Amino acid sequence: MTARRLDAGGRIDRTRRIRFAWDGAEARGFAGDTLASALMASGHPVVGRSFKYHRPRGIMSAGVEESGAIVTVGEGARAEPNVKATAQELYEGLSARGQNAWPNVRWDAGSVSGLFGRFFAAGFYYKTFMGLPPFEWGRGTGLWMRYEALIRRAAGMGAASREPDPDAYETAHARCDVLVVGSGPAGLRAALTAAEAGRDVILVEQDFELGGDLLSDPSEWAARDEMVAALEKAGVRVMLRTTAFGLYDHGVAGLVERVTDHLAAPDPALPRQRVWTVRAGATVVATGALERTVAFAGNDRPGVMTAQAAATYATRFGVLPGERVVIAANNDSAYGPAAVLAGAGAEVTVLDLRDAPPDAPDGVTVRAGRTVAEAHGARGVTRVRMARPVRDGFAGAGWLDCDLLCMAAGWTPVVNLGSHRDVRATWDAGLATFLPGPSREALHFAGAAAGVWDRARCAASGEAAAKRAMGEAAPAPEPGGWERPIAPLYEVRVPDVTRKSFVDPQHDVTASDVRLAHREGFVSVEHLKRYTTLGMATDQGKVGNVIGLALMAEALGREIPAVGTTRFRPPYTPVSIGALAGRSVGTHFRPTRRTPLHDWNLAHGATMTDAGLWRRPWFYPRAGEGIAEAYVREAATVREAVGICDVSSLGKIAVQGPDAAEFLNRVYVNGFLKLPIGKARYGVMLRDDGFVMDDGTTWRLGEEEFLMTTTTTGAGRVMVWLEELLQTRWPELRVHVASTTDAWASVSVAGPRSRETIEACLADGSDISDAALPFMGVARMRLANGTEGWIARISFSGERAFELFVPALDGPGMMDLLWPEAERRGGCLYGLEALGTLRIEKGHVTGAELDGRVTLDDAGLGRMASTKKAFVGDALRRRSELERDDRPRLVGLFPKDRSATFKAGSILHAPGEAEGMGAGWVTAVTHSPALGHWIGLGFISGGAAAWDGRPAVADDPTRGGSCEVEVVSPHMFDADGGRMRG
Amino acid sequence: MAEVTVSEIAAPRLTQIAAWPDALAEAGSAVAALAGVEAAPGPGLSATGPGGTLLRVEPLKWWWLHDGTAAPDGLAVVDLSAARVHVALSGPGARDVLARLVPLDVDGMAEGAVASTLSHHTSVTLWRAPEAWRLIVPRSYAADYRAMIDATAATVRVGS
Repeated sequence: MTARRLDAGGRIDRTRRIRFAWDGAEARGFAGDTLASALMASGHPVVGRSFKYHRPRGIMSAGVEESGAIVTVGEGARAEPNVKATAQELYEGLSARGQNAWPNVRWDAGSVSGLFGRFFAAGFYYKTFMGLPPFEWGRGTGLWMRYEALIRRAAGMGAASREPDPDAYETAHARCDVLVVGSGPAGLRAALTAAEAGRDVILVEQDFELGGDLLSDPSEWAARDEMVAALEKAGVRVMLRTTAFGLYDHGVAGLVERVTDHLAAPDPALPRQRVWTVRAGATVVATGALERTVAFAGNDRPGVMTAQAAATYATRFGVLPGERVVIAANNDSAYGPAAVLAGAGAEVTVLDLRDAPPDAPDGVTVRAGRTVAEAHGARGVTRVRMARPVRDGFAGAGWLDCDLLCMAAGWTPVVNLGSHRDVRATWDAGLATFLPGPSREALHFAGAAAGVWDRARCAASGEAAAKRAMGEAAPAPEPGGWERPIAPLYEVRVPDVTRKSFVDPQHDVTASDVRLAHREGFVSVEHLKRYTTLGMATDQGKVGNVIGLALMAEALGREIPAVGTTRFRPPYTPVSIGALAGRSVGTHFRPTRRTPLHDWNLAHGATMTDAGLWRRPWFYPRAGEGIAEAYVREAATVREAVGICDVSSLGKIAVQGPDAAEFLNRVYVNGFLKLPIGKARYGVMLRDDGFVMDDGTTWRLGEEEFLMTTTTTGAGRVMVWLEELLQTRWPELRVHVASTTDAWASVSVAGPRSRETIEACLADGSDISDAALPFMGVARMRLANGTEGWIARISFSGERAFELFVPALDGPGMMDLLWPEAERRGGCLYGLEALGTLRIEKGHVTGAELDGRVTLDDAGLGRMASTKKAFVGDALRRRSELERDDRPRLVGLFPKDRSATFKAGSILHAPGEAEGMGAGWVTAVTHSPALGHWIGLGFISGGAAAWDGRPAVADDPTRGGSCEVEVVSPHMFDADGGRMRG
Repeated sequence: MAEVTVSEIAAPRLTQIAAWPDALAEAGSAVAALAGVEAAPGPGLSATGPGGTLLRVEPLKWWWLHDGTAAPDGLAVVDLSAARVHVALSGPGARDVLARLVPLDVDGMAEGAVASTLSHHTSVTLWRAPEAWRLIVPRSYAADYRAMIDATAATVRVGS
């Protein structure tokens, strides 16, 4: 291939030179070039290496179906592999390199694998890489692990960057009446028709210019410019550099917009790419058609490309791809490119398979009844062998020297988007192509995508499609448009030639592979695809599917439609995961929730941690303390003096209405119907299947007013559950529920000096004595600074404790009152770690125990369940399997050697029985300041009574470690609860 | 490129008032009287009077934005004043910012329209108030969500 830049012509801007780098060397192009056209003009015929055989590859097309010029663009963290050079807009400073080659694509050591090509046929990996007898007889994975490491190194095309992506991405939404995909003659006309009829229209184009096929015909440029101006005047929203990658339910389209991929120095505020979800009333698919090639020996040599692509390089990009051009054709569409290339100064010969081809354009030689059988040339085509049809196939018919071989073997409409929906492609034998069938959705094909080949009728097709999209009756032009029929051609084989002929160049799938699949019984199109990997590369079969089907049909002795088709699925072209993630990355992968005391906590030295979506104080280290020292000190201080803990993240749900008490009575296992006003009660709720869902305290604030608290992580789940019950199961109950989690700032003040600490902060006249506010009492309170809220005698720590609730914005003010008083009394702030220590000592359960697999009895709460009323989960909790005595029950754990420790997550088992799931598991572990050694909570078969006097072992096979433990009651400290009262 | 202004505004009192299905009309009259409007707004709408603004956020619920008047008895009332943060979005670029934040048809939301939706995994109520778009966000999510709004607004200001 001896390409050269033409002295004039093209849509490139010859006043704007662009410097770029190819494989580390500087090269030049113009604004308006693609990377492919610039590489072609710069004299780089070899730009890639094939997947399996490392064969040299050149530019094969001018579009997204490209199978040869697949390169890596960008450096470092921005390196993007597998970019089609034909679709990459050139920009100043672009850096690109070849891939799948060492040291480079021009001289690749990997090409030696081509010498062993016969061993790498389709499915070779199913027949190799097995154990070598007598070392392994097909079982075991020893040798496979060694093979796998080698295969991984050899597999793949480009290499993705391992560095964090420095770019931002974005998602967005849009709506329109008519979405038009594709801006060739049909798409432009469709968009204008709809817009001029008053519809809201979005026109999507994957290229960086509108026009599609029109961009390759200078005689159409003026008309194209007029159309574009008309579109703008009509208010059409144009989205360039945007690919419609998928169509989904209810008229939804997924688009990916390449915002800055073409900019040398983009504004950092801009996202690199943006994924749009467009909801369209109707969609016109004007995505054009792709020109087909033929399978023949050497058809993947650099210098072999489709005919229209060659013309596009000449007319749109001002690059003549070759000087001595051979076009192998079987249909009329070859003659336009032939004329263009001849007009640009090339010597052009058309080999037309048909006996009666059209008249030759000026400067073009036509040889009828001929096609191509072989292409030769080490790094580019230098000559081709002609073939002529004979009775049983083809025979050689002489040689032609050339430096460019163009294929014009028919067209395949781009029906992918329809395939994402209900459109089935049907075979048209006369046109030798698949045409899109009808759709029951508002989906209308137009132009070449509908099989209309001539430009004038393409525009009419677009207009008709737009009218149908607007609900009008408008018959579509008939497919076709050639003067002479096509002579279907999918493969040329001459008897004495055994060189590879490629069906799917990206995956190095050959015609022989298809026939091998047939011989081995993989004849269904789905098996053909998966066994050979035909159509599974980044082009999703755009180039090779029809040829593969034709070859399988021939092997089966059937027609193409009988073989069937696989179904195109989104995305039409690859979409980066970054674009799909949008802004939901890093710390924004999930929302971060902050309590009203977040800043106050940080200002007072909190080290924070994640608790579900929340950021919560983990511990408050003093000078020289790590977590181990801090939490022990904090827990001890709570037991000895007073501690304050931010509990604002607890779920809070207002339950209101005349039937609120009845509702709670049905939801909780214990009774709430007669809960007095001003009292709180601990409650447990079950799922319908009898397992524990969540727990918390519920306060009665008024006759028809309750405040339910839930666990932090269970709040959302419980809220949804309550709404489901009210809306679907008991709609007759007059109850409203509302999440009030964010309305309150709440703290727990716990310890022997908690009451006096709080009293010092209350307004004059407040009384929170034991008589006025007994255990589980609830009352209104007024702080000394005038803030009003609620106070409840509730204890999770096991100490005398109070929970104070104030409106969220008043939280910091409340802490400014409480903390100095606590500090004066030797108190501390404490976080989640110490909170965990305190509750473990007491045997109080949390989500670590109530993990969805646990029943009331398992958790030691069976006596809570009322026998006098029905409640959710009551029936199924009585299943015999859930009432077995040997079920795992909640227990406490001490290390037998009190100086030892063990880990949460360990398996519990009897000594010598370390197998399977063991007898139980450890849920939580802490060093207990109250007891002076490590303790834990867990579940073990039969509970503490079954292990009285029996040793158990806590084993951690994953992280290592084993510890003999004593199984004890879970209430390891202050078992009778006396410290909470009084 | 389009200018857009993002600002947190002082949250008014926000009282949620819920009605019983069989007493919806009476509840509507009561809330309309509270706000001093002729009629309580229908689903997805708002109404403003001398007593405040009503947002019909759910079929059985209104949010009453007001200056502190107590709600009458007989209704299920919850004070959500502290539970929400109000972010105002204005300027020619506001619509483009919203297109990137919410899956709603904002062009179809006339002045006064209200809708609740999920935006970046956060429950958000969008109100087209007379002076600006208003995003009403749960307080605990607000700081995180505001970061998303600001990043999105920065993109719109630059344009693409």
